Amino acid sequence: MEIYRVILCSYVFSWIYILSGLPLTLSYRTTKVFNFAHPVFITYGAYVAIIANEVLGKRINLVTAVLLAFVVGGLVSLITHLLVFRPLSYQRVSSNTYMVASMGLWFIYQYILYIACQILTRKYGANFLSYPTIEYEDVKLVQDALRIGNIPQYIITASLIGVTISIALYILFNKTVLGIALRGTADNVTLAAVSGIPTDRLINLTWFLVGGITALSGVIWVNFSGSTTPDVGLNIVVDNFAAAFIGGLYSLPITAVASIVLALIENTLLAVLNYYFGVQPTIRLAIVFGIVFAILVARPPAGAAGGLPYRFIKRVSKK
Amino acid sequence: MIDVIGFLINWLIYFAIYSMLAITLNLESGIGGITNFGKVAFFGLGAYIGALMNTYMLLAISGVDVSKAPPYTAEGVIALTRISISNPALVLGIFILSILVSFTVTGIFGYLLTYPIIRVGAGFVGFTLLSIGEVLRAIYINTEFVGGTYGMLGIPQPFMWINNTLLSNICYLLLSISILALIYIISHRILYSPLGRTLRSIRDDDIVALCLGKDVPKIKSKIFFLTSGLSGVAGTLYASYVSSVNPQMFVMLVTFNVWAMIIIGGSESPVGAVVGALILTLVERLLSLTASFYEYLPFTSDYLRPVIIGLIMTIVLVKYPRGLFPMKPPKITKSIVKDLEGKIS
Repeated sequence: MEIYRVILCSYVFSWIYILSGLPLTLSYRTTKVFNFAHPVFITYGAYVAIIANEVLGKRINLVTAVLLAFVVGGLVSLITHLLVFRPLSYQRVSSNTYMVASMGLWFIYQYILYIACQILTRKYGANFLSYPTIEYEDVKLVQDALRIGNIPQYIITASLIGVTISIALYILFNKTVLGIALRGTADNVTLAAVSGIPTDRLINLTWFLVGGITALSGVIWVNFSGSTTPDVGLNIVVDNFAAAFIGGLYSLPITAVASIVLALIENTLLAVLNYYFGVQPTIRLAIVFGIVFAILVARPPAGAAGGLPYRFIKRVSKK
Repeated sequence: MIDVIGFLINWLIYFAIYSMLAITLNLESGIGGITNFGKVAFFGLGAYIGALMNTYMLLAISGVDVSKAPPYTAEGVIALTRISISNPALVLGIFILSILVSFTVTGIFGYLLTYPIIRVGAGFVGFTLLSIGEVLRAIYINTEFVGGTYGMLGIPQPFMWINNTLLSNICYLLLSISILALIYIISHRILYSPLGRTLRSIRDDDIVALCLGKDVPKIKSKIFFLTSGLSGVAGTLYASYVSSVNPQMFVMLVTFNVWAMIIIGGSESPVGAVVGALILTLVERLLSLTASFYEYLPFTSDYLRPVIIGLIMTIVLVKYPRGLFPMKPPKITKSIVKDLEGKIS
């Protein structure tokens, strides 16, 4: 069994789940919208890198890809909020309505991407519906300069993006006035507004950050996966939501830890099952779901993901 | 020349099957407050149960060695066609049995699922059920005796022995419409019964319902058993009509379509669900009928449909959050007023 490979995969998947799970928790905390369209941002991030790669003649830099993906992901997210979620919030609809609307958006974005892929495939001749791994030019230069060519490039890309974003988020939320205002808005919008914080603008900013950061996990994905399809987000969504739920849709540190643990368990179990029982990797989803299910039954989640009354019943009946 | 009668029958059968899904989704989500984003899981399970019973059981009873000619091979399909034309009573009997088994098994599956899901919040319920659909699909793909990726073909339609395609399709349409009518009546009865009122109170505020002494988890489990079972029946009808099942049929898009139906129609009333199903199945059938006209497009027209339906759904949600045909409050008749006055005095 290739322990080396399992560790590498777990490492990369950890960063991908962290970069997509943290924004999900952040968006729920701030706006109380459970966004089923969230995985679309991952896919869009990946496809921005792919399209830029084709346009630039297969010579793309990591910096370019990151900037483009961040801006496009952020804009898609912001537009979604302005056109759909904000009008809905003015009407004070139930949380179910938000979920259904986000599901509708998911399908709109997903199939628009399919259409775009078909058109681009005809134009550029490359197969956009299953695109091979992208190599970043500037990362290659750094690798050559530091003589670390034997380390897979995706490890460096994931570390660079992941560590930078984590530090940036930590500084933003703990050391800046803007971050404190963002946290204030997330905890209680009315109180924040009364304190003179421009909550509307900060919610817009949160959505932009959510889309932008999530899109970066797509930039890592295209550097790692041998075949990127428009279903990338769909394949990551279960782990993504699971990590956010384990964090109770509230705690960013627990979400990050949950992402790492999920990535580790999932990759180890897949390797073990494949090595000893010849199980196909397509069963990955069932494994993740098994883990989630076990957690659900053993310890129903607290916070926003939990159903308070039923846990209350349990406690009463035990007495 | 377009075959108008054939088109109408085809559309109405699709309408009946999707209406069943929409009415049950309306009952569990619009009225019961369970955000079921995994409708396709129960629909698909019902279809696979129907497919398995109508093929394996039929072959086994007719004395065909299933291990030599399994239904997903050409020999199996030929044997199935022969039997379904020559032995109508057996085919019909197994079909009715498959509907009953499908209702029970899918219902129990839904009931068991409520054990974990009633303990968590709405977001997690939606996500868990959505994943269940995808997990079941992964299982179908990796299971050989249900045909794996290619699925199963040659599932006999119960009226295939009638030597006229039009007549056998009309019979199937009548059967589907009668099952739809039955489901509509059940749904209507529940809606205006004490159970329906309790369900609506749970949807609006489950803590209040709990404090008023309603056993919320039990009521949700009950309603989920019924709606899951009925979705399974719709699945069995679908499998027999299209005479094939494969994992690609039961993707999340199906759930999304059913949600779009109840959103457009109005997510509280069964009438809204039926109207939503009528509109969307007509749009879908017309688009598939005219697919050949889209050849000049630089992309497959299949991708355009979800975008159009998604746009309609989102616009309706933003403009009319209660749907185009929202449920009216129950009429207060003179007898109710008199009754109340009597109680007050």
